[in-house]
Amino acid sequence: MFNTVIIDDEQHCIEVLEILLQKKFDDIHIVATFSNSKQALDFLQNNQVDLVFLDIQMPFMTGIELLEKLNKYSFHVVFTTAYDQYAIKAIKLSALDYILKPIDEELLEATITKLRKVSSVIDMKSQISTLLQQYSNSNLLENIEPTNVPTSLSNKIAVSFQDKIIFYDPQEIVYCQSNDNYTIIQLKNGEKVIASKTMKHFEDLLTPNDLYDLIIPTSSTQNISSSIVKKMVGI
Amino acid sequence: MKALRAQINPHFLFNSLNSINNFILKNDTKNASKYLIKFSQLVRSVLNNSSTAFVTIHEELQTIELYLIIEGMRFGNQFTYKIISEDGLNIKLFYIPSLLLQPYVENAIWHGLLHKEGEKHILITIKKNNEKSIAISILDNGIGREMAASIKAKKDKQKSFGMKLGESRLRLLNESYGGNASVNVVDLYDSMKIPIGTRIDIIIPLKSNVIESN
Repeated sequence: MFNTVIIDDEQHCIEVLEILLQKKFDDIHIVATFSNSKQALDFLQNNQVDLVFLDIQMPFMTGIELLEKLNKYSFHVVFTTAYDQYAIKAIKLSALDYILKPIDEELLEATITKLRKVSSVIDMKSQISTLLQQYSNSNLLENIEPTNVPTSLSNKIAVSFQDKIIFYDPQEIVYCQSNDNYTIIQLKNGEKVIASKTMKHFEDLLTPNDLYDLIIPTSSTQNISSSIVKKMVGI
Repeated sequence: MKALRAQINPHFLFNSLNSINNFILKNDTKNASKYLIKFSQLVRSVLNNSSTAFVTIHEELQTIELYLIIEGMRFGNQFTYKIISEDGLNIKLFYIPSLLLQPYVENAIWHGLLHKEGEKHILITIKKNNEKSIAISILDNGIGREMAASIKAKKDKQKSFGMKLGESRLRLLNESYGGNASVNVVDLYDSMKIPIGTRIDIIIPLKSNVIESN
């Protein structure tokens, strides 16, 4: 049973989530909903919950600032947002989850399924601090022209494994290789790691320019079908 | 100029759709249908208006009213609005730049009214300024600029994109009008010097025929 809180400044967003959650998921128990972020903060400081659906753009305080104000907590966070490309990138970089509004029932189900699978509590604190770092970086950009999106928002990206999350500097990565629902990441130190995210996820996060500058002979990369590689030369 | 005009807040679009989805999930077909139609009318007029530099005042006000209705839907009709045009002013005859007013109205709602408790109101008035120009004012009884700025400063350093858009459009406009258009922001206080809202005064030279620019 997940004791759940929904926070969104627009009441209709709360209602949609309530309807969808109550319809399908017996183990999601909604204990409170807030359209006022200050009241939500107060509640979360004094109550233990398991899951929080959190809107990002709200008057007074964004969802991300709300998390920043909580000293410690152990709940899972799913961000809900209508549109915010920087926030979404920050969320992806920190390996937290998000859903887009209007909410697709199937995607919500995937989120809940994922939540049920997470048996061990992943280090929330480092995830959140990465998120805050990414988000404050992205907030410095006032212009919303897509061309102004920096290729790398910050130093580290979060890579999810089955039981843990490790933060890597893109410069430690030589290339990424698709392997069904997993991605093989070749590190500079020769180590290969298998991340439990698809290649698409990393393609959204990284550009070849972020990676360690290593020239890879084409012969050794012929089985890398769709991958992020800095440079390839034929030998 | 076209690129700037074409802007409408994607956050607004998607949240509006979510709001309509809520009516559907609650089997409130009447409101679902009503707002879906208002929403499509607004999207259509934005699409139409973004390909023409000037629209009649009448058309611009219709677009603004649709926008106000939909923002009202998103926020459970927390605020009221009124649009008044001066008797004798033929708003179907005169042209103003398309989508000129929307960023100011959006700003009044988001930074003036939504932070406020209690009664919230927007008043838009259109009248002749003199023989050569019209005056449009957008008045809100929100928290005022000073307080809104302090909340924003606390929140982040993001500038209001809508306002910036309005200013840069006005600059472009002035280039084509020879500098006769203006926008003034007036902070309103009661007798105790307590902020009681903000008024945007826009003066636009009269234009009774369309000369397509750009």
